[in-house]
Amino acid sequence: MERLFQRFGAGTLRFVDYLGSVATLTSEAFRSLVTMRPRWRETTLQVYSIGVRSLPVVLLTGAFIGMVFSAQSYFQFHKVRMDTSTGPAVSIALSRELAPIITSLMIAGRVGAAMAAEIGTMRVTEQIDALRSMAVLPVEYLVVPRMIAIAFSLPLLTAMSIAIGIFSGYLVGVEVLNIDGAYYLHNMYIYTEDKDIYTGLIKVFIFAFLVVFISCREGLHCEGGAEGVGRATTEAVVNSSIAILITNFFVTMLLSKIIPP
Amino acid sequence: MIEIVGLKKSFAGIPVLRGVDLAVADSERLVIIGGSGCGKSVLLRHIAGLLKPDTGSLRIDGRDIVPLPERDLNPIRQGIGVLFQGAALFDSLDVFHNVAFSLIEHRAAAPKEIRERVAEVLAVVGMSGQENKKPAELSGGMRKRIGLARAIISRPRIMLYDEPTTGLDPQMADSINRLILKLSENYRVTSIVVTHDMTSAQMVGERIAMLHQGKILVSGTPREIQESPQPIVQNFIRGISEERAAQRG
Repeated sequence: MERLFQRFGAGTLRFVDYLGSVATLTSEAFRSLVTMRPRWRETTLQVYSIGVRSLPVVLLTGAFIGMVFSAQSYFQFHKVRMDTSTGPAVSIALSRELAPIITSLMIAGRVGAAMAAEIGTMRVTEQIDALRSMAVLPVEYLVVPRMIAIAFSLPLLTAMSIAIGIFSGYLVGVEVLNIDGAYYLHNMYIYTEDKDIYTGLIKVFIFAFLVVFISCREGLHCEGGAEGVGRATTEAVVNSSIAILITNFFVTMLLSKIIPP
Repeated sequence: MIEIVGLKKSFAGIPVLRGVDLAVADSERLVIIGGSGCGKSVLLRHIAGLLKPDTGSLRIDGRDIVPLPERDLNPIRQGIGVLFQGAALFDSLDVFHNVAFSLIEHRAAAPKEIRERVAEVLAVVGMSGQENKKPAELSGGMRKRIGLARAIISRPRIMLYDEPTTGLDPQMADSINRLILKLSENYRVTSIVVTHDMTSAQMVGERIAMLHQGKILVSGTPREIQESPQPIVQNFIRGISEERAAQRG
């Protein structure tokens, strides 16, 4: 029993320590954002790496999520002769939940892993120490450009995912399942509001910070050579994904009070 | 002037430095020797401001750097050049941008002057014309030379060398040792070299200090160290293992 309590206590301490290190990194990054000179070159490279290079995978997942959600919605609405409700169901679900969550998880997997691996490798090969020895703060050089790039890119990627999801959902609904196209679009325009879209975009803006700070934290605290880099990469993806899913619930509830659906 | 007093450092409860006292005069070439894992590199990282001790003080030109936060250390770090054991070149940058890194980052010179200074330091380390190569295309010795060029381009007053000849063939090691001497003599920098290579220590050291069990055991000229009556020192410089020393009685 005593051992159980010891383990629980040690686990709790590790968790609090982990949260503390992420919070410290967050505050350092925002402080640097104000005090440091802009690093346009690094930031542009990161926008390319995070935004442009993620585009194919985000568009592909967005398209197929839209298609499958359109088909599933149709199968249910068809039972009660409400086929044309498929349009608004697809657009609202994609805008509010599916596209933000799927895009954020894809970015956590693709970009979060890359961030942790790259920074972790720099850490174990003393490149981070080399930066510090040359009076360059790793947070300013490595974290802030990634933070700006992901905060800029993720909402744009999500918007594109929503657009292609709605379009592919329309194709499946109208061209494959023979829903009346005019009513599909009419109902979609009536029931989908601006706030459905910006609610989703506000959420991904928050998720962007979760991904960057959790992933960079894993890289900066990486220890133990190649094995450590592998562990940091896995932790970055798992922790970012869990943080996104948990935060999503609370942000959704909070936004529902501020912007009623 | 670097003054270290009572420096202690533990990792996960295991003491590595147990009260180091050491002073290094301006323009002096000090070599710190000691067995693997005795804390030589840890001591060097404290001098570079990369680690904080548990207790003790470390003064550089009279200013204790121990209580300084990371951001306030930067002006002091700009006066210190570090050659890391594995050179620690940035993989994503070519040789030119690696060497010019600190000048570009701190906007310390105009682009034309940066190009000239990169060419100058590459010539000093015998690596002229390698500006466009990536670190992955370089051998271990070449990487160390580029690391050295990167460290000296900002004209530091203090140079720290972490195992500069480890992993190099004897000829390349000799070449690096000569570079250390050349830099020390030409630029009058204070040099601290951490090594377990006695050939290198004898060649570059004006003074040698031996770190043993987390403390400076002995310090003196290369000749004094060579003639030290202490068995631990003699066993180390002759490469006699502890087991063999115990068997000899």
